[in-house]
Amino acid sequence: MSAVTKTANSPVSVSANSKEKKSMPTIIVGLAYLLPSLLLFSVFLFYPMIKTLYLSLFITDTQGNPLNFVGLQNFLYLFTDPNFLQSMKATFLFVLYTVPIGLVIALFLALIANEKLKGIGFFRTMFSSTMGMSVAASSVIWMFMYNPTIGVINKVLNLVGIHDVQWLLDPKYALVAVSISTIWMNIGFTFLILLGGLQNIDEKLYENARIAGVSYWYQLLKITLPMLSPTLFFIITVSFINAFQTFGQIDILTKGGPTDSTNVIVYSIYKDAFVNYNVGSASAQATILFFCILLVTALQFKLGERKVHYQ
Amino acid sequence: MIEKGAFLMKKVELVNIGKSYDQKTNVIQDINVTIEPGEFFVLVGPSGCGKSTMLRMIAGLEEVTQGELLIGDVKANKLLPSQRDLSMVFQNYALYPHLTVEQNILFGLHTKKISKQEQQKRCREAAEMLGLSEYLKRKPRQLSGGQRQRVALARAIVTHSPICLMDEPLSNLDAKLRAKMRSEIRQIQRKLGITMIYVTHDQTEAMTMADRMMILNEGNIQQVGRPLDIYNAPKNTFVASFIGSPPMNLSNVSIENNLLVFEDRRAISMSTPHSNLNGKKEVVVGVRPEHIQLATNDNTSFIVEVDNVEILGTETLLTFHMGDKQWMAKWNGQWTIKVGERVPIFIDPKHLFLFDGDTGSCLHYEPSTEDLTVKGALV
Repeated sequence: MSAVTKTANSPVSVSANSKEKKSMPTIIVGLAYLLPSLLLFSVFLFYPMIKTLYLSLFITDTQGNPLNFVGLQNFLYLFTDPNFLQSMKATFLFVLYTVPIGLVIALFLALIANEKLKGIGFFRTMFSSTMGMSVAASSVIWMFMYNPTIGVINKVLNLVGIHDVQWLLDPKYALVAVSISTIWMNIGFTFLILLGGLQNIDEKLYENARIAGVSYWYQLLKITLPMLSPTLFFIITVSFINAFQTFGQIDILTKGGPTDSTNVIVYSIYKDAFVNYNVGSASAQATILFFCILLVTALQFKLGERKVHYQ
Repeated sequence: MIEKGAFLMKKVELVNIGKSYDQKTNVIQDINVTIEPGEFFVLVGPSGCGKSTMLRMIAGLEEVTQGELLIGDVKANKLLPSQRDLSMVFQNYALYPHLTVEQNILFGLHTKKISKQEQQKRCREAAEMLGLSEYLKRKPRQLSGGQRQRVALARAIVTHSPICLMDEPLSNLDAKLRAKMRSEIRQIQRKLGITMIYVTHDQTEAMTMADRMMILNEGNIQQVGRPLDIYNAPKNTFVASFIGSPPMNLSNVSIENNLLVFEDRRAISMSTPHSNLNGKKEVVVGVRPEHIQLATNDNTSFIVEVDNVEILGTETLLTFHMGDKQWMAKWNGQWTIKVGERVPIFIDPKHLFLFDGDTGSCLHYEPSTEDLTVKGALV
């Protein structure tokens, strides 16, 4: 059985057959393989995206049905609306507070956790543990910690002589407070990715540096950071996108307040669409956010790619 | 050009060196050896024998847990790698992929308080010596394996360190390039007079490059000496089977009335009764493949049935059964022999090695009288 059948089934004869029969063009075969993901993306991503773009050009009723076509009116209105501009400002400040600081802290933790010491696994687990916490759970914990009367943060500050700070109620501090808790929540993931990147660096590169006798900082600047650059690039991009899209902790901690100081753009979209039932304006904001993220990511690829060394 | 003597020569001394990772079992032990200034010293052994660990201990990348390490008469056990004044070439070259060849070669030179001009001068010299001058601005990934190897070598040379350590530097290259780099490294070492400590698992590299070599097995020194001395007088069966290609043929025999009797009851006579056998009856006999000759007329030792024939152009390798083992014979020239053919062979008793059956140590050999030289020949 075996020998004869195998020859008949060999790849050579199949390709000969396909030429004779004129089988399906490869494009159709390719699309068939893509079909499952195309279907899912279409339903949950492409359709909503196009619908959002469409709705952003209309005045809608409270159900979200388009009433009048107004062109770019929604956008023009937004750019003169002080509330929206405040939203943009809050978003950019939030990104500025959370991304660089979170990255530096995570990088520091990854560097110290990358040392080969006894029991280092314990620290690695601890440092990455915030990854296992849901945004809701961590937000509630932080809410208690920020509480002006029973919160541990003010208790500690009192000890060093600083009087009660209304963390989540004072417009001056609310965004900072939310940023701090966001940094804490994101560190686990960032840390884990960076640690993985560090462990991929060939140990021999450091051994050569030890024999050459260069300092720790020189090694960090000339070996570690360049070799880590693909990982850094990835995590910076992901962190930026995440920061732009923050919602959960805002909703739980401040609900956009006080006086819109933490009303970041995604929260503003949510409020417009589902509280004020102004779907047209919300769609326009979502479109603006989309292009903001697109721009920042494209910029990163353009600038980052040049500095990134891929092996 | 870099002159000989630009490098200070230094010796390296290992006194009772041992290494243990868990304070119980030693991965290497009782290493005593002095590596002379300007010597090409090869550490050779099968994988896992501890040769790389030993090199890394000399480099300071691994802690010395026992004994004393002296570099140029200074105790170096606790010195940092950078304080030991040595350079190292790694198996995978350890080049920095984001730096150019030039930056790679000059990496870390600033710590040695060398002026920029001097750095440039050394870089140019080393690049010229290794044929890298055109590639200084390239990145390592734009180079071939052999060129990367040369960059790693250049990086060791520019430090002007008196001692250079090499950890299997050629094992990532193909066979042809390996042979070329072998002689190139040897020539550079000779030209600069560096003390070279070279680790390899390849006995050919060891034989062809070493001034002296150390054979290690399971963390113990088997033998230290000049390659030919080791080849001609292996101390034990391990060395005998490790050095030489194909390796020495070994079989268990028993001694009966001045005869060495194989397990299949075939026998061969010893040249003279040997006093240092201490009445041992069970020994291991060893014969180098090149000492098994085709028998002429009446001196046949055995008739053997050929299991396999390999013709290499200048020589022919025959495989046949001898007692419980397969043996190999190496004959010069191209022989037409069929598998299964019965061939008479002759083994001169003076070429026999006898090893202790239990400890493997060499009991008897006759010093080689072969001495081929061209001195005095008409040129």
